[in-house]
Amino acid sequence: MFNPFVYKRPNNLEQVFTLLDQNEDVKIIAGGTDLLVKLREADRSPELLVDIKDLEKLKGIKKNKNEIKIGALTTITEIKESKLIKDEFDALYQAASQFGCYEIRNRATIGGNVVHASPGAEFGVVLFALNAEVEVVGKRDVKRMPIKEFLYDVGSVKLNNELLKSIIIKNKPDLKSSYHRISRVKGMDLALVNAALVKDDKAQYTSYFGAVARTPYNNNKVDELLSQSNLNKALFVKIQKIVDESISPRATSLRASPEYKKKMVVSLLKKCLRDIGEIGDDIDG
Amino acid sequence: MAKTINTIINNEKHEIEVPYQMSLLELLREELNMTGTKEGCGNGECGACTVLLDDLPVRSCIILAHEIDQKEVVTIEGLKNTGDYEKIKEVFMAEDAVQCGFCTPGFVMAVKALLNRTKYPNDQDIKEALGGHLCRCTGYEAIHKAVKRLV
Ligand SMILES: Cc1cc2nc3c(=O)[nH]c(=O)nc-3n(C[C@H](O)[C@H](O)[C@H](O)COP(=O)(O)OP(=O)(O)OC[C@H]3O[C@@H](n4cnc5c(N)ncnc54)[C@H](O)[C@@H]3O)c2cc1C
Ligand code: FES
Ligand code: FES
Repeated sequence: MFNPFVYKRPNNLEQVFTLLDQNEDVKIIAGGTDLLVKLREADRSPELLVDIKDLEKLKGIKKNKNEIKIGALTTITEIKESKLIKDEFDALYQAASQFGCYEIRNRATIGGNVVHASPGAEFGVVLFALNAEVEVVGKRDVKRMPIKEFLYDVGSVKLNNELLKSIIIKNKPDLKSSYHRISRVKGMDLALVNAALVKDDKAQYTSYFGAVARTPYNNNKVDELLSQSNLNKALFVKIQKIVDESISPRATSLRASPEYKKKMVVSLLKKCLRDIGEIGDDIDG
Repeated sequence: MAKTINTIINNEKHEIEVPYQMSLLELLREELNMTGTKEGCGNGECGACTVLLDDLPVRSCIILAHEIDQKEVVTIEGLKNTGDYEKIKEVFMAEDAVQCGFCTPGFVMAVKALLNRTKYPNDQDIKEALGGHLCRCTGYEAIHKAVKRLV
């Protein structure tokens, strides 16, 4: 048994907002794969859990003109099995494939992943690299903002009695993307370090790394070097030096030492580049 | 506090009063006495508590009993006397894929769900289906081989 709470599962947004307004100590539950694990360990539960799984408006993957909209309640399995996603955004498909295990993917939602905002979460880095936007729905209106604004710190997003409604990604033709992670046990653990790389239609690179800073980490200098140089061994020595000097992962991390993480950042970057066919096996590591 | 839920478990309708804070796993084992579903980690990590919820395998330790209101659940008890169950049992025995048996119901549910998805799973499909299930006794080789025999 969990510590006591009341559970409600409304089927429209109005009821959700009424419940959020009327109760101080209330928590949203989507797939529950973060929340219920957390509540198991907690000394007490919130007074009220509001289950949003019946909100149809937060579901589904849709393509409108030049953007793709992913409802916050879309499960990781639905992302993995979406042809639209696989065709347009390899990195999203790869993140969904490396996420947890099948049973968890059937429950876990992309919205929950973003809102929970763990440093090693799968989708943070990918959505930052793709320059995604989010839609936030409140009692009165729907706001749209860059995910980089929405997710601003570990476990912190800009929500105020509001719900994350959807994630929006512009799909440009010829965009290439890739995602990789390193974890202790395959799948059943958050990534120790992860990386997402995007090469856009103008051959500009964007790279983001997770679990090395409080939010997905990007270094302009690295992206500029990638975009303007020959991708050879010497370049990666340079990039390693920049990474070594610019990030300082927590030394107290139980999972991996800072030195190891710094090496892995560059190694994952190469893996992503290899994936999208920009470097070959001659560049090792 | 408790409230009534309506659900179908193993093809049987249930209308039961359930405390809000009860997990699906506790509902099955403690209220309905269906003890075939096991509790290992209690945190979603081991797979021992796997059941089918509207046909998809999920981990009942991190699902609330109230979340299955208006939904349908199948547990290991519900597989008995089905053709797939007999087949899965046979191949698990043939490959010595069971030792203490604690993890077995979870694996069997995962395999059943796999067969529901595809009649002819390849290596990759099998790995995906079993990937999140822990077994402390057999090593995974025997279980993987057993499932391959189904194909
Ligand atoms: C065994 C196991 C393995 C895991 N493996 C991984 C992994 O490999 N990679 C990974 O990144 N994560 C992993 N996780 C963590 C978790 O599954 C994910 O973060 C998942 O995406 C969370 O989604 P959810 O729907 O279950 O969230 P919930 O637990 O329902 O919610 C999480 C938080 O977000 C809030 N919330 C959810 N949806 C909304 C919304 N639409 N609007 C506003 N607030 C909302 C909730 O209030 C809560 O605070 C794993 C978890 C387990 C138990
Ligand atoms: S008991 Fe549910 S996953 Fe381990
Ligand atoms: S047979 Fe003992 S845990 Fe798998």
